[in-house]
Amino acid sequence: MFATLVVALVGYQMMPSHASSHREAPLISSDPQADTTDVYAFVSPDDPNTVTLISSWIPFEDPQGGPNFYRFGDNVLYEFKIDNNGDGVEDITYQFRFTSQIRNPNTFLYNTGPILGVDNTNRNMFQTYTVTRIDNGRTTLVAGPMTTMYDNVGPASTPQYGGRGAGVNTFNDVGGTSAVFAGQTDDPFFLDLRVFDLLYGANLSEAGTDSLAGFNVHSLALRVPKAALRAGSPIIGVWATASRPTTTTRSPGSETSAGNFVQVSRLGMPLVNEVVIPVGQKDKWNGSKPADDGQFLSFVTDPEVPKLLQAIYNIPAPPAPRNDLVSVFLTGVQGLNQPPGVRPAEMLRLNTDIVPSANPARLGVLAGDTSGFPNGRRLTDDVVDITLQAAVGVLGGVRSSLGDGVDSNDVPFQRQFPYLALPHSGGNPWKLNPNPPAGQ
Amino acid sequence: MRLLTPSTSIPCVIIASVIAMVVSANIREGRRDRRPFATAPALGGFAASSTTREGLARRIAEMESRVAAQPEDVGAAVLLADALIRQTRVTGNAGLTLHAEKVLQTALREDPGNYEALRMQGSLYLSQHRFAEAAAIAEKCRAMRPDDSVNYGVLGDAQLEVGNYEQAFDAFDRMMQLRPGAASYARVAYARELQGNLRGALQSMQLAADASEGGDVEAIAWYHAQVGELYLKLEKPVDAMREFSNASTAFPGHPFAVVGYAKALEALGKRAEARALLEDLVKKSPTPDVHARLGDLLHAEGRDRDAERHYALAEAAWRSDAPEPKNLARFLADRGKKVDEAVVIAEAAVKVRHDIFTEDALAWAYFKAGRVEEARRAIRLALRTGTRDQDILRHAEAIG
Repeated sequence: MFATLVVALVGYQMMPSHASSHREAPLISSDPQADTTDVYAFVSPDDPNTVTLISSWIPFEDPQGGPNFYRFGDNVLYEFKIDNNGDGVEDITYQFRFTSQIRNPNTFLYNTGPILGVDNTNRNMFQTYTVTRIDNGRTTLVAGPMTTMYDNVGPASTPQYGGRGAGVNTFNDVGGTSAVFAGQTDDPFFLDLRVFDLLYGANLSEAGTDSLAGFNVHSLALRVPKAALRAGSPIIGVWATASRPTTTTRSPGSETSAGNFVQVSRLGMPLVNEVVIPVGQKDKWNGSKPADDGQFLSFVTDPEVPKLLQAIYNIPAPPAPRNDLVSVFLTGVQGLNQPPGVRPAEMLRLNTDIVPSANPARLGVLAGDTSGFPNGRRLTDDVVDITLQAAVGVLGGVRSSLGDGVDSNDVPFQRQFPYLALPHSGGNPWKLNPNPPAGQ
Repeated sequence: MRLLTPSTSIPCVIIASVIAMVVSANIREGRRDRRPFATAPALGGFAASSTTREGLARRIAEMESRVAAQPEDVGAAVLLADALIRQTRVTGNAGLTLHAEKVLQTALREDPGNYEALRMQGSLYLSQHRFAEAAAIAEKCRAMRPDDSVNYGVLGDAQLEVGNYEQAFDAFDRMMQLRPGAASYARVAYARELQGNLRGALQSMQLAADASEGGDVEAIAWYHAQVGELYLKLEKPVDAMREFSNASTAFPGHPFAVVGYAKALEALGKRAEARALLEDLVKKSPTPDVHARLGDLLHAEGRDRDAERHYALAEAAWRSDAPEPKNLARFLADRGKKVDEAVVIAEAAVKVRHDIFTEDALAWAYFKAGRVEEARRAIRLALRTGTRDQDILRHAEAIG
């Protein structure tokens, strides 16, 4: 250890001059473990009596990962929330809580030999998790602890990675058996991130590269019997949140008290944060609840993006108020996925009675495939193109082929639960040996 | 949430909110003739590698050339300033903050209301110890975006450093309620430490280190080093050593990790190893802190002549490169030399800030100068938060 530290000093320049005074704690903290990238909700294509919910976390995981590895936050409360009566308030919540484990505390290696299964003893560092279901504020079940799927470290550490059903657990849910998966996967989202750059003045015809190709995320997937989610209507609203516990400066009553949980991240419909919510409102948005979304209504009825598209590309912006967008983002589309008596609130709304299409159309409802976005969201739905086209008024009859030029994911999705593609392989010995000899 | 990051993050990825803001401002003001700028990924927001030593240097070079080519690229200027402030932390080269200041001034001349640039200016003032100006900027930014927790961090830091503890703690609690995360956990930890709650401080700092995981490596190193310091204060040097080692794994040679590791070695009785580490360090970085620590270690080994040489170098550096009046005053008082000057320096410092460490330096200088009554008054102020800082407690005991 001492020798390692001395070696680490190479390249070291100067000491901080104020080390013992002002501490200069970082002010801006990225929080990948609590940063949700995407949420999906669809009727399971191979088991249409069930609904699959997916949320992904930790953006831009480098498969090679370096000596640091990725995991869910032990101090993050991950939740799926389901509103089944259209009032904007969750009726059912599934909570995920993770606990990191280490078999041999004398080494910080990820694995001490090839990992041949989730419970293999060569898996030195791993996480267990529980799933808690809450119905209208009352805990109705706690499942687990179960074990997460391990990372795709590379052929030496994780040979024959990811066979059928790898990492999938089941538990007795309300009215049937549910399946659950927690672990590393390919990042299922596909888009050219430059589309947002291009929105602001460059040439849209330059787009077409999947910016997320080759990156991994950590995903939570849950396959639940429909009956366990529905109330009177077949339409459910779904969103995901992450919360962290608070601590207080004066810590009354205890030396180490931690206080309430505060929501730090929220996601339902894709791209809302990118194309609807103005930058100055994002902090408020992340801490907000769908039931209070009325405060953001004007950003949907009179959004900025169509004006940008008009200013830059001369694509006419439909006049406000954009009630077509209100139905996409806030209420669901009437006759498709709008619950009776709906209160406008942003979430993914899924009509669970609509049978999954055998040939899912990339553009979902815009292409006549009502089993896709914005009726819920499937992994293959091209939400960037759909949203851009919706922004310029396709739902109001405007014709548009606006898009980012990326039509599908970089790797194929699996045909069975959790449907997500396997994570890209690290393909190197980093996690087996964090200090590989030079040249490896 | 991939494209625009949560509340306390600088926008990540290509569509930075900086740009969105510039663009919408441009549109509102009918300035579409000016092409808005694409912004490179924010530090730490894209991949952990972006705040490695090499990543910081690369980012600085890249943003320098963009700002040089297009001075109106405010987004690039903000990222450059951020990288320069971090580089200051890991190199101690205070000249970098002067450069960051110029960069932000230019950016704000282009776009005086730019929120991201203003907010970064708050961070900059903190790193330059211009606490009143930092607080003023934070208030201005808070009026612009009341839900941005970062502003409460700047405000709290500024209040804390000048000794306005109640205001600082209020700001940190508000910051926490807006956004529990590494930045707010670390501030609560420090507030608890100042009040003598070391175990509570450790708990919150561990939450900070945990919440930084997967993010930017320079910050990860900082948080783990702070956890290590708290373990040292709790007299658990083996745990401390593990944390400093974690810090150095994340960011090899991070200065806080190296100094902490040497302290842990010393606490374990491995004084020669600690000395070797610092002797190696001081050849590359002759800063006052390292010289002074090395002097102490040599003194403890009975090598007083060598110790004196390092003490002299520490004093010289504290007077020139890294002026920090309270540290210099305490250093002089500790060594029982130039105590009258130590009193003068500490009295001047207390006129601009009344934090417990400045009060302690003044108390110690008075005591060494034989002014015991004044020392008692000052040490009471140094003890007012309930701190369990070993130096302050030792001084208090001596002063009686």
